Amino acid sequence: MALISLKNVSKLYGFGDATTVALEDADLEVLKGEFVAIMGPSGSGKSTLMNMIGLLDRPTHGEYKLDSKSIEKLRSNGRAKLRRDKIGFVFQSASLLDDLTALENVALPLAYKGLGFSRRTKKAHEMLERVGLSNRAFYYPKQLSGGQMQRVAIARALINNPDIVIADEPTGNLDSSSSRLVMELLREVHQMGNTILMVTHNPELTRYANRVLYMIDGAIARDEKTRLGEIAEHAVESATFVPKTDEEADLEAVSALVEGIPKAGDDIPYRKVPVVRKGYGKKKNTHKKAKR
Amino acid sequence: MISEHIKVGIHSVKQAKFRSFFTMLGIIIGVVSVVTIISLGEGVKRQISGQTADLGTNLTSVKPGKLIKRDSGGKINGINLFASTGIASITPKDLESIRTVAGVKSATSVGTISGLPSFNDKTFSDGIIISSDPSLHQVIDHKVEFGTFFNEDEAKGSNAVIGSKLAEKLFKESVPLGKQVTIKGQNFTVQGVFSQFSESPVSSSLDLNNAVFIPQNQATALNGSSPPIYEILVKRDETTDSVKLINDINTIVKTNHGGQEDFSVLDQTETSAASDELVRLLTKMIVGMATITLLIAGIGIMNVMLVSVSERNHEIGIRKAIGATDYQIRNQFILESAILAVWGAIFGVVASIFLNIILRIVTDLEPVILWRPILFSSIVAVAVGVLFGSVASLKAAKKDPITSLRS
Repeated sequence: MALISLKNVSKLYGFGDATTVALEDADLEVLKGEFVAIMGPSGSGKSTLMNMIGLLDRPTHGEYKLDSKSIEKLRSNGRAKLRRDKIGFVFQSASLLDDLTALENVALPLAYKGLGFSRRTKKAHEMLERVGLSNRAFYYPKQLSGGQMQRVAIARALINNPDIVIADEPTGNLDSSSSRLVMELLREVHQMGNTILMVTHNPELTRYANRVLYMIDGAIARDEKTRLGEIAEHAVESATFVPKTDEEADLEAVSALVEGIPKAGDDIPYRKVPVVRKGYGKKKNTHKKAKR
Repeated sequence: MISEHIKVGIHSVKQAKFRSFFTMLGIIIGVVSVVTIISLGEGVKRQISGQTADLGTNLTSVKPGKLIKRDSGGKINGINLFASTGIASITPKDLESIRTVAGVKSATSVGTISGLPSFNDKTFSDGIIISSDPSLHQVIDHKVEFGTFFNEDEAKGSNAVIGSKLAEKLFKESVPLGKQVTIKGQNFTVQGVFSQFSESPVSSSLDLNNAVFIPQNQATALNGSSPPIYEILVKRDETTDSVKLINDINTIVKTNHGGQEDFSVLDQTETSAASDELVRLLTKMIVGMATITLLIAGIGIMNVMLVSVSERNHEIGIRKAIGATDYQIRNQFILESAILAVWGAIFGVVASIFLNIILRIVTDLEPVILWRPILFSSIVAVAVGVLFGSVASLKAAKKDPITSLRS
């Protein structure tokens, strides 16, 4: 049974001619215990997909089931509680609250759950010990290094023992040694049976995943099973993929139109009509239109 | 949870000390106004009550002019503060009639004449001249600290009894017995000095500490006619009911005045009613204004909290991402508003205590700090903080987590 199930999930922003498709008809099933790396260029919809799965955002249409339960009708507070109990977030920047110590930051989700002070402090201490930062429990974020902050953020994400950990470029702001520490930590979390969804631009990090999704233009373009410890086959290609600029895309589109103009003496069987897709006045990334 | 909210709230207030102080300033001014005005009002009321109590117990007063209205049960239900102005409706005949009423132990009239007391060519401009007879001392029961009050024989001569403040100010000594006080060119020998009467800055009574008491016959000679009676003081028997006595006196004086009720008969506890009413009205008005200040302070809190919500967008996003519900975000910001208001109230109470001490030192006022206005103003301040803070907190609660995280 899939832990995460998306069917034809789309996310649109704006109205009419200004509509932007951030995610288009995504179909995805993630099983419990999978470590899924998500790659793709900027603006390809990776974060939108993560926000959707993490219940921070609602799909414009499509069906999303978490642990076989539809979350469509859940209200804001219901989604918050589900997010608190089932999902842990690790963001690119550590996103700790500056006014709270490392210990208080880690304990915060438990506070929202209603646990008493001593119980949540004890659990937070244990979690900090697990990420090797028990000696930094009473440090404020600004007294910690980037890697330490990210480890505190992982401890906070794990404090409620969530089914899913969503890591949005968790090593994006870290040096190589800190990145390695953080990834080893995520590997441990994965080995304990947690499902991990990780957005990354770094092909090296696909070694930790057993599945890699490649996204382009709001769609899941490729879904690749991979072996732990090996870099995914298409990861490097995806990482080096540079989307066309608007000018390049416009030029390509004009060239295609010019090619389509019949020359003198050509046989003209019918008039070409521009294809209108799915009824939206779409204004998506222009390189996508150009490619198609 | 609340401890985290309080910690973050206090930190947020400390981070923007200047802004927080100005936000609290409205609350501080409101609380100081409410507490100080009520303290002053209470102080003045107590000073007036002290004045009345100084004159002894079981006293009834008859004054010119219709100062009050009574209901059928005898209770005061209307006050005219200016009814006695320029009216001299009480006569010596009224005094004689009152003395015949059953239950009256003794009665005396107090009149005033124009003129100022002087000594060695130095005039005391705050002084007042009161004409009375020897029975005054039996009626008012106030101690003559030095010397004696004049008796029937002494009343025939040019003798005077003075108030303690007049002794200090005019004679520069506490016991000027035997010295001559001059009124309108006539010398009077000081034969007694009253102990100090309670003072009040707001009172419808005379300040007896500045008075020279001279016998009535002497006052008549100085004035050229019988001096107008300011008040008749009646000492009743302890067994006599005050309401019945008031009715009896009212009836007999009314008869003397041809059925007209151009005078007022007041029990001792009612004599300060006019002053009390004035103080109460002023207090109500200023407390109302101070409460408006508190409301305006609430708007200040709302604005600051709205700015705080905008500045802490990212924090709200993080909190929502890790599972905070809309209610929990709302409660956090309400609590922070309450912290601002509570601090404002605490500073306000401390400032008002400080101000009251200064007022006691540098003025004649004797403000009395009561716990009720402190509690009332603090509760109103916190309620205002929570009420107006809730506007910003609702905005925070409704924020979209994605938008907040991106900010």
